[in-house]
Amino acid sequence: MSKAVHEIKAWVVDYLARELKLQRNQIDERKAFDRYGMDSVAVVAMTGDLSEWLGFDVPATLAYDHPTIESIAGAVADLTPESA
Amino acid sequence: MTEATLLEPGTAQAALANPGASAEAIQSHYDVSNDFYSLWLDDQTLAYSSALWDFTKPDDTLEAAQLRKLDYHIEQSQAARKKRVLDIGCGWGGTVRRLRNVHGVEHVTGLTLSEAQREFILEHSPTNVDVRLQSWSDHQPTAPYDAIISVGAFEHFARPGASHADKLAGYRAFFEKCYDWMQPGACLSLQTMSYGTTQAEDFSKYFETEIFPESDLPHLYEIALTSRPGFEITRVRDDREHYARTYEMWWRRLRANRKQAELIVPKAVIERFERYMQLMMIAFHTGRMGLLRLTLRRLDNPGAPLSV
Repeated sequence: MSKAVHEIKAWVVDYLARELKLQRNQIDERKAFDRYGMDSVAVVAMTGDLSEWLGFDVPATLAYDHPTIESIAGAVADLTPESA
Repeated sequence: MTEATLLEPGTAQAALANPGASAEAIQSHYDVSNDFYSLWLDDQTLAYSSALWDFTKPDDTLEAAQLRKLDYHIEQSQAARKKRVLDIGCGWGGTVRRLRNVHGVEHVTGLTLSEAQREFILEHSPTNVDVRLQSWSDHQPTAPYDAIISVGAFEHFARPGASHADKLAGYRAFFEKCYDWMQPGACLSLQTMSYGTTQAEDFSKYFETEIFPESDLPHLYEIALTSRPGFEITRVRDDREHYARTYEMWWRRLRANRKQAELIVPKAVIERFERYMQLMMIAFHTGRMGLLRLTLRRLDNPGAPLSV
């Protein structure tokens, strides 16, 4: 099932807070993933967990075309299980 | 994964004797299981290297793109209807079969270091195909070749940790061998991954331990440097986006066949491949790695004095 943009944003914020051991209010939705020190292995892990939550596969490259929480949430919301 | 090393890297002697990955290292990657690879490679070619996509066709398929890639190399090497063609790193034999069945080549020699690949080709190939479990460095042809194709093998011709001089010496030895084996004016069509915006240090640890033990990648300038003076490079393409799409297709096919894959190999192996495919998608998509397709023509009398 597709998720709404705000649900996806909340999921990514929670994920980063947990992985980076930060408070949710320390996560900036407009800051690029690499600015949080995420490398490609970390991005693959994140999109893997995101895919599991969504129930369809999100390619890791999406996080490079849409490198912030705000932009990836919009891109993921536009995906359907068929187009993902 | 096996870490067997036949020769210690780092000496000129070792580099010249066998500069690339050992047979054990190649087998550790490619001998996982033919059945496992066939779950996500295309049925037609079983090519485990970048396809050549037609990005103007939204419904282009992996099969069509792989066949297009084979035909591209056959065209670039001018192999069609020739007598003798060599395929260095022949994989599961897609090019070998295409040369014999479609392009009218009389005799094809294929070299591979993988026993599983050799057995597969012998089972599935037409006549007049000679598949050898042999490194290029040991190959001794009985007659010159009219064309050489090498796709997805050059990646294994250097070892991480070897000195730059040894790496270049190994590449130079490869091009010198090809030169000696070819008819005057014949063409070599070469496809290899390359370092793009990254350096060896960024990749080698991951590559060496996780995916391709004992293998290092070239930079474009290293190929340009070491193919001289025997060859002129007549065409260069960096088709990295083609490889990003190829890896994405493989990843999607493996994901779709996950349950079957689990019957063939351990879950940990599947997860390693899925992670590897995604990392490669990123590397090619972002330009950290390149996918070079080069056409090289044998130059004769390269050292002849200029008449002025």
